[in-house]
Amino acid sequence: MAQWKPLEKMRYVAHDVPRTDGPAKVTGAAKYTADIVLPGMLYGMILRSPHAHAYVKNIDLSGAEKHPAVKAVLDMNKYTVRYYGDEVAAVAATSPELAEEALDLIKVQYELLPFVVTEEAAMAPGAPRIAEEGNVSWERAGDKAKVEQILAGSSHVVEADIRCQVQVHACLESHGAVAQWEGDKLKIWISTQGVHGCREDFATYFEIDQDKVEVICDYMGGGFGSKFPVGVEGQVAARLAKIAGLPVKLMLSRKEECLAVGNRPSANMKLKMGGDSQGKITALWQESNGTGGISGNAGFPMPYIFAVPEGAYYKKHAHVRINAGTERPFRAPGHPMSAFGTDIIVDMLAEKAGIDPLRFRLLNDPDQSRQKQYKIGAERIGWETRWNKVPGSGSTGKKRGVGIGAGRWGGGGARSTKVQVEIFPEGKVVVSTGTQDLGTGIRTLVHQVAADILGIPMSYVTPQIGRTIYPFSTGSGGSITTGSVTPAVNNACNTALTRLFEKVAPALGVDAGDLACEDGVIYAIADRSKSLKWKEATALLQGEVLNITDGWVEGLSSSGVAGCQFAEVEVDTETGRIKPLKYVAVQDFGLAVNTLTSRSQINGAIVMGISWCLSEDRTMDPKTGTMVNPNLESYKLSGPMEIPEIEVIIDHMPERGVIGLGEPPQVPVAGALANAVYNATGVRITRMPMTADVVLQALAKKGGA
Amino acid sequence: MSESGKNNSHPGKGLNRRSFLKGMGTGIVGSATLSQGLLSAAPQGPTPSSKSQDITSATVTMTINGKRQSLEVEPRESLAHVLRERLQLTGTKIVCDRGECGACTVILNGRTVYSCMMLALEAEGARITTIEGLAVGEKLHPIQEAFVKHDALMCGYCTPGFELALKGLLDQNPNPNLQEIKRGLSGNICRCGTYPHIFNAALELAGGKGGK
Repeated sequence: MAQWKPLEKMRYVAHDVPRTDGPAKVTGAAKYTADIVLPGMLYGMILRSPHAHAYVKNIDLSGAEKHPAVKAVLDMNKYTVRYYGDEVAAVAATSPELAEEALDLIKVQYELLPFVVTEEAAMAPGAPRIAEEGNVSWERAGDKAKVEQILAGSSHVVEADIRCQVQVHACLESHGAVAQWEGDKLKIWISTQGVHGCREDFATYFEIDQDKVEVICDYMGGGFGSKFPVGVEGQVAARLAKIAGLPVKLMLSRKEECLAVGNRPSANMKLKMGGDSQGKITALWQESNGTGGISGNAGFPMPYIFAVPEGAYYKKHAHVRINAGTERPFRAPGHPMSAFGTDIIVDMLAEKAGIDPLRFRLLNDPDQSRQKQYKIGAERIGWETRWNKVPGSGSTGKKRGVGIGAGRWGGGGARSTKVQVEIFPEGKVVVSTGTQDLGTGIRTLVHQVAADILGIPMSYVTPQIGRTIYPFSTGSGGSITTGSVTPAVNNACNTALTRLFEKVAPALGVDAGDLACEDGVIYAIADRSKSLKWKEATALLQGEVLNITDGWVEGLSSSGVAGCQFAEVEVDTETGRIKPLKYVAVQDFGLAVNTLTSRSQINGAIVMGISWCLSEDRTMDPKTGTMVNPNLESYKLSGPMEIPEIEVIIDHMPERGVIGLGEPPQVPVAGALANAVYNATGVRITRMPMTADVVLQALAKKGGA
Repeated sequence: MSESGKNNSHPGKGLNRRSFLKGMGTGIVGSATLSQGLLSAAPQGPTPSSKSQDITSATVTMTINGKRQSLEVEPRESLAHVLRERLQLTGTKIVCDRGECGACTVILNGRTVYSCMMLALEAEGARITTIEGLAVGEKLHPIQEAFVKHDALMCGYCTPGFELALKGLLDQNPNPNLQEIKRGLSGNICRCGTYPHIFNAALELAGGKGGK
């Protein structure tokens, strides 16, 4: 099995390395899909249903068709619209303003149908059936009676009603594409997490060969799981361009972004957990539901993190369909909900059993990495002095407390990943692979790894990604990009180096196998005086470009990571405002290829988790079936004022190889925060978002009790 | 989808079920006619009362990144749109399109403004600095250098707006503390959550190192 070079031989891997594309991004030179402007380009726009559920009785496109600025009109041929924002028709016109004007001229006659936009309404007896499959799909595990019997025999039992609300991805660059046909060939810029997946999607959709489709995503403004499929918007852009015979840009508006391109499902759970007199967990009981919009899919893995004895877990979960945009994967799908519920119920059980929650975790968490991490994190947050033994016993007014959360994730790598390495006679190296950089930094990682494996400065290497003209690489989801791409870069560079050594060995009078390259010098391992500078060596290629493509190999990556986080918060009991003061994140992800961009990832995951826990909430109006806050004003993302101090501790395990980091640190954030709020106030808040009104009500309820 | 276009006459793809279902009248609860698209139905949204044939373009003259430019714009076009789509100064991003996120921040006559909230015509005679005007040739502005060094960006979509907001702050207060930095940048949003590294970059520049 392949192995990484020893760390001490690497100049860039496992170091702080600023992003390769940093200068392009800070100067505005980086061209995202939304930035593409082509000659004669039209602007596409989609007409969407203003109703949550309706038959489309009639659609009259003639007004739009007659508009002088309109070059293409599409009817989506929908018989039924199933949520507010469902696609009905589309136009392409010479400016966005004119496209919008043309949408106004399309007359649609709807026949309204009953709708449901909340889990409760969808599950209520006599609720209107909104999907052929019914409103609810059940998922069950375990024996309820048996688990209740175990609970009845347990020394301690706690129960909680937990609510995690729907969260929208809110990528700053919206979903969309710029499509251009050249004869029967489609060239398309699309904001995507998978250029090669999009190529296949478009080829299938237009019934053309994949080699007729070129997909480009040089830069993209965030995806978080929502940008895998080409989506209706991608199809429509390409379709409008084909009809009009001109390029079409179709980028969704902020409002459309909130309605139609994915979200994190809700999770509403009633949990019961039992513990024995020694503080060991005896059983877990779960009745829950969640909605993923019109598709219903809303699962989360349980039991989570902690060992529950065999046969002592019962689950009855409802995947609920409502008339709202469907879910899409969202950063660690399911896990943040699992962790939020688990971290809270475990904290409650620890208290009931009279055990410090830190010690309770050490007692019940079977993961050896986290055993170590809890101790590191506790020391860094100052658990011994900051944890209130009596919750809420701190100072009056603004109260402080600390809490713990934990998470896990898989990762891994895709064997299908390929990388091309070209070594030019003048010494330049171009490393190409069809992955894409969501903002995670993979372009920089390709650059670092190539330079270190070849043993040359990064300045000699140009990484190329984001296009289907480069070798196949998988979609960026499940935190597998680093585990897929960097082993393939490593292997391809090793292969290329071996080939170069074969070319230059005769000039040095040694065997190719006896050569190595370090700091831009190729030398005989046994006799360092026999050496060539990199550019002297590549000059021996004599006009030939050394060009090899190789793939992923085993041994350089693994999967399965552990992490925990400690939060310190301040709760203003007068205003109800929760202010996170500090986070300590301890996270394992194997070999940290870039410690600087890794810290960015962990910071960002914590910010996103805080934002979900404290302020984000997709709010549906049960009377009209519409989303009432499809914007960035009343759908509130955390901003600069809400950011705590964040201390990142990389639990570095280079011997494990590389493992992706995008998702895992998102998992423990909200649970740690909820437990810290309890520790500060003595009031248990189990519903997100924990806005000031929720906090004040909870405080008042406790005060009155 | 079925389609119609000026340049071809492709037949619709697939069966149009609507004509078949017309008149079946099953499950009628009510009916409504959509007179406006969703976008213009929003109470705060633009409601174009004038149709394209009534709109005359107008000339606007602005000094952008030191270069005086005159161009024809439609009166309803925003400054952000004109910068991006007409002048291809696409470092200025449009994210929320209603003054909530700061991605479209530019410096106009010395003040930071949301360019999505201004009509291009309102910028008549203005001096505008966009992100493309910060670096001098290949030489990055100190703010840009600090952003790269501290990894104060991830996807990079909010980055130009944050850099210009920080420039606006440092121009007024060359030595801000962390709290002042947070407040000064609070008109901007980053979904990747890069804030801590943006603060690090800003703190390094505090003390007059933020350049001009």
